[in-house]
Amino acid sequence: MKPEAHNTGKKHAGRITLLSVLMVTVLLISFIIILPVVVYMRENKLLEKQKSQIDSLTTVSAAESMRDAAETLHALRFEDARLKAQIQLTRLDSIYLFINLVDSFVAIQIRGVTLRESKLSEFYVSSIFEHKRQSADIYEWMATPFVAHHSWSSFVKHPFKLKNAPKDTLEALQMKQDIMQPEPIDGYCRILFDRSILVKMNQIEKPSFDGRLLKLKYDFAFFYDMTKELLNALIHLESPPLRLTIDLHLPQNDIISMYRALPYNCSMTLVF
Amino acid sequence: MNIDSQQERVGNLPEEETISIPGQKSPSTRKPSIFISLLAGTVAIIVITVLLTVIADRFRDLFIALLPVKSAPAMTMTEKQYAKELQNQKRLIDSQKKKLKGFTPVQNYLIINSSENKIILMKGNKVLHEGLCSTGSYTVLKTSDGKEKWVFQTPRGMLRVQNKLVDPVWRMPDWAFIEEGLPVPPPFAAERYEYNVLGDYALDLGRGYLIHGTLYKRFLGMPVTHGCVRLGDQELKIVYDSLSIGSRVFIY
Repeated sequence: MKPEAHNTGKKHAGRITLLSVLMVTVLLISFIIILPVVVYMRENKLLEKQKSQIDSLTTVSAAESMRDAAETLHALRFEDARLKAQIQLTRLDSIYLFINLVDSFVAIQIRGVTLRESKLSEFYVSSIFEHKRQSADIYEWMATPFVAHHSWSSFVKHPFKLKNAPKDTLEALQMKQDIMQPEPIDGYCRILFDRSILVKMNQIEKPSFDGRLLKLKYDFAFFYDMTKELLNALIHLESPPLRLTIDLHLPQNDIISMYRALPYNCSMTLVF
Repeated sequence: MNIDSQQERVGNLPEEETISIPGQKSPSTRKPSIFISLLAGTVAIIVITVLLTVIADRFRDLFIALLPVKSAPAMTMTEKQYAKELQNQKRLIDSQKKKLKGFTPVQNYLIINSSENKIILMKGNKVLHEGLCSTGSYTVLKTSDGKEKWVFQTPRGMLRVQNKLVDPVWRMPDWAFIEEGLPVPPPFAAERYEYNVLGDYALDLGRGYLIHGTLYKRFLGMPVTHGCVRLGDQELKIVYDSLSIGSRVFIY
C-alpha cells in the first residue's frame, strides 16, 4: 500500500469512530434524557391529549369565573389529599419527613408533633412537579405518604463503635481515658422515595477538606448506583426512571439530626 | 552498487517493504491505529454516558421546561355544583386541620435530640425550657468470647413516663461489671446496688431506660451513656416537676 492510501485509511477510521461516537451520543441523549420524560408524561397522562380536553371544556363553560372555580377546587382537593397523607402518618409510631415548599421549611415529625424544623435557605424542584400538580391523578398521588427505599449520605447514619470487654480493671481504666470527642462532620444526603421522588439535602456551610473528600465519595456512590440502574434499563430495553428531584439547602446540624432521626424506610409528606 | 541497480532491487521487494521509508510509519502500525481509534471511541462513549448520568436531571428539566403546562384537571360541573363542592371541600379541610391539631399533646412533653444531646421541654407549641443532656454512646460492647453483646443506644420515637422516682437506686446490670473488667455477681447480690449515682430524681421510660441525674456533669452535651438520658441537676428538677406519669417523651 502507498503512504497516501494508508493515511486515507487512518482518516476513514478516525471519521468512522467520530461518527459512531456522535451517533451513540445522540442515542444516549434520547435514551437518558428524552425517553424518560416522554414515558413519564405518557404514563401520568401529562401530555397534550388531556390539555385539549380541558380546553374544550373551558370553551364550553366559557365563563372565566368557572375556570377560577375549577382552579380553586383543584387547589382545595390538592390540600385535602395532602392532609389525608399527613393524618395517615400521625397514626404511625415512627418519625417522618415533612417538606413544605410553600412556606419553605423542612421538619421531622412524629404523631403530629414537630421534633425539629429547619428553614430552607434555598431550594430547587424539578419542573416536572409543575406538570404533576395539574395531572388528573394528583389527588391519589398526594393522598398516600411517600416511602423511602434507598438513601445515600456523606456521614454515617448510626455511628456505632465496637468495644471489646476489658480483661481486668486496669484495661478498663485505660479504655475510659480515651473517650472520643464528637468529630466535625459535613452533611449531605439523598433519600430516594417511591414514585421516583429524590430528596437531596445539602448543607449551606462550606465543606471542610475532609468533608469535600467524603462528599466526593458520597456523590460517586450515588452516581454509581444511577449508572447501574441506567445500564440495567438499557439491557432490559426499558426507559430509565425519571426522578422528581427536590434539592434543599439547610444548615449542617439540621441535616445530620434529621437524617439520623429518620428510619431507613421513613415516610414523607410534601407540600408544593 | 550504482543507483540504477539499487532502484532495481527496491523494485523487486514486496510491497510492504517498499514503504519502510525513514520518517514514515510502517504498515504494521495500521492495526494499532484502528485499535487506538476504537479504544478512544469506547472511552469517549463511557465518558459521555457517565457525564449524561451526572447531568441527566438538569437536561431533563430543561427538556420538561419546553413542554406546556396544562390547567387544572377537567371537572364537568355547573356553577351551582362548583359552589357547593367548594364549600364541602373547605369544610373537609377545616375538619382535617382540627384533627391534626388534636395530635399536639395538651400536657407538657419533652423532646430529646440524641444527635446534639439537647432537650426541649414543651407545652403545646411553646418552649418552656431548653438544656443539655447526655444520650447513648452508640458503643457496641462485646464479651471476649463474643457470645454476648450490648448496644448502648437511646431508643428513638415516642415513649411515655411510666414512673417517677425520688432518690433512685441503680441496680447495676451485667454489662456494668463487664465494662469495668470485674466478675459478674449473682442477680441480687448487694454489690449490684449503687446509691446516689442517678441524682435526686428519675423518670422511668420503660424497657430499662431512665431519665436521671449524673455525677459526670462535664460530659453533658456528649453521647456517653448506656442508653439512658442524663440531665444536669437543674434540668432534672424542672423536667421531674413538669412531667407527670403518662407524659410523652419524644426522642430523635
